Amino acid sequence: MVKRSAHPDKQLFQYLSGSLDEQAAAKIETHLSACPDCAALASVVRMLKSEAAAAGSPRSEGPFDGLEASMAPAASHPGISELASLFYGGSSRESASATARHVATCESCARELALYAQAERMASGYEPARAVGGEVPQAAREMIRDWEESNYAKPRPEEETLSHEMLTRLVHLLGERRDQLLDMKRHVIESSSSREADVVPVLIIDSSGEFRGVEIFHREEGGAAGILKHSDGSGRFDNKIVHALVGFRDREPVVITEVVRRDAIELKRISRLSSDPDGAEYFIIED
Amino acid sequence: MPEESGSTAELEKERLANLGDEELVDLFLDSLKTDRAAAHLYFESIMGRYQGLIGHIVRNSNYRFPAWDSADDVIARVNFKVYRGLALWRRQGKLSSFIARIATSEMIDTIRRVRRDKSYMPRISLAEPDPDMPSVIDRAPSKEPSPEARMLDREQSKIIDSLLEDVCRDWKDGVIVNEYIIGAQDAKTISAKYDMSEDLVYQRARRLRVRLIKWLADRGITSADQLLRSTRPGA
Repeated sequence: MVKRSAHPDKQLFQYLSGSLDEQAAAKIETHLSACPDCAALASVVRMLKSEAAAAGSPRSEGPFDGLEASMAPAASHPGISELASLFYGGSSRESASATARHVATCESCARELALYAQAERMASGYEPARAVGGEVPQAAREMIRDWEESNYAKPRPEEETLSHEMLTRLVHLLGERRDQLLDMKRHVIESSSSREADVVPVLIIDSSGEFRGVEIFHREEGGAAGILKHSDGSGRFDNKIVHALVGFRDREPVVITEVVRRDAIELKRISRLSSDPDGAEYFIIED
Repeated sequence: MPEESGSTAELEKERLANLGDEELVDLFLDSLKTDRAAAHLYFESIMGRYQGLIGHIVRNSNYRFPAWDSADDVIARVNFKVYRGLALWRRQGKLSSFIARIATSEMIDTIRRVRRDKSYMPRISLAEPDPDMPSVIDRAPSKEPSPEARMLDREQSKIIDSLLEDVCRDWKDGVIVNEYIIGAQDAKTISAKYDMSEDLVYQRARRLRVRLIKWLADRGITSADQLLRSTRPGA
């Protein structure tokens, strides 16, 4: 039985890295032959070393020499935000363990963490009041201007946004009125001999989410994803906002907003979606 | 007190210079929707204080940025991202820390892009190859291991994954396993690189050692062979 205090600590890791002299190494070997705990630990460390070597991250001398040398495919590394969350303590316990596990055998991610540590040290010692005033670079000003001039920087008008409550109400209403919508659709198909895909019932509701009726629009050719044309041609919904709840097979539904112009809805935004929608339900809010 | 001869702009600049970070950020966020010119002025005032920090982080990283994505480009993108992200600054942390995080993330993103780009660079051969000789590709030994070896590697990786996920709980554990246990770096080097004390390096290494031994003991494992056998089907 080996005494607990006699377990080699630092020396065991040094021995496994081959950095101990012959005499010290012999002592460790004697200990390993008598201590199953340390022998098992040594086996695991050897396995970790072979795993890291297989991952193909050759160790380098300089602080950043090997940063670009990692052969691990980029897709297998954790994302930058995951790494930052690990460093700044924003990850859940499971996520932190998974990312820390990757860092344990990935030299390039460990080096990236070192960049966060060094930046944090600079930030904590930085005194802005004493710093020489600098200017925002011209290139950054141009990026900001371009971004602000694009639609992304502008908040959507209130009438274009749907509250969570309203969305829940709409989904509920759809379930409630599904049979009615289908009946109406069937009736229009039979009476006008239209194709099923060309007949689009649009639910009309008021701003509190109460059902007001169903209007039939017809799909026409035009635009990238087609145009929905109001059947009665009254212009009743002109300039009104129409929301489409677009469903997908493999992801959450999204809400797309368009405007009715001259009795027609041009489905511009739907055509720009990255994956093909599985179907869409349309709503117009009218008070 | 400002001098009487100072222009309005100078007076405003001085007023802003006397405000704290939080006050300036509040003014910036409030004016974003109503007065963009004012928002820009507040932003310039905030960032004027932190250009030194951003430059220090990006330029002192010992990493050479390529000509097509210079340090200046990285710094410009950091400024842009701070502009877009200031609303996310949580006031319990210092603004310098928030900006440092954005700067570092942008730098890492650039480094990763450069790395990916390099992987597509073909190697240029200086001499014309002899068409009658087997090519370098023909002569290269197969990198593909045998199916048995591949299965063993997969098993080993699975065990390592499970072991490390149980043992590593935060970034410090990850880097100590990487640098100290696997990489055999000394505590002084790790301490300087990751801004932690040498004592902490030793303390963490001891704690990891205990967790590793416990993990093995819980599974009754005393050798690498046994470790592999324990996960094989039918074991």
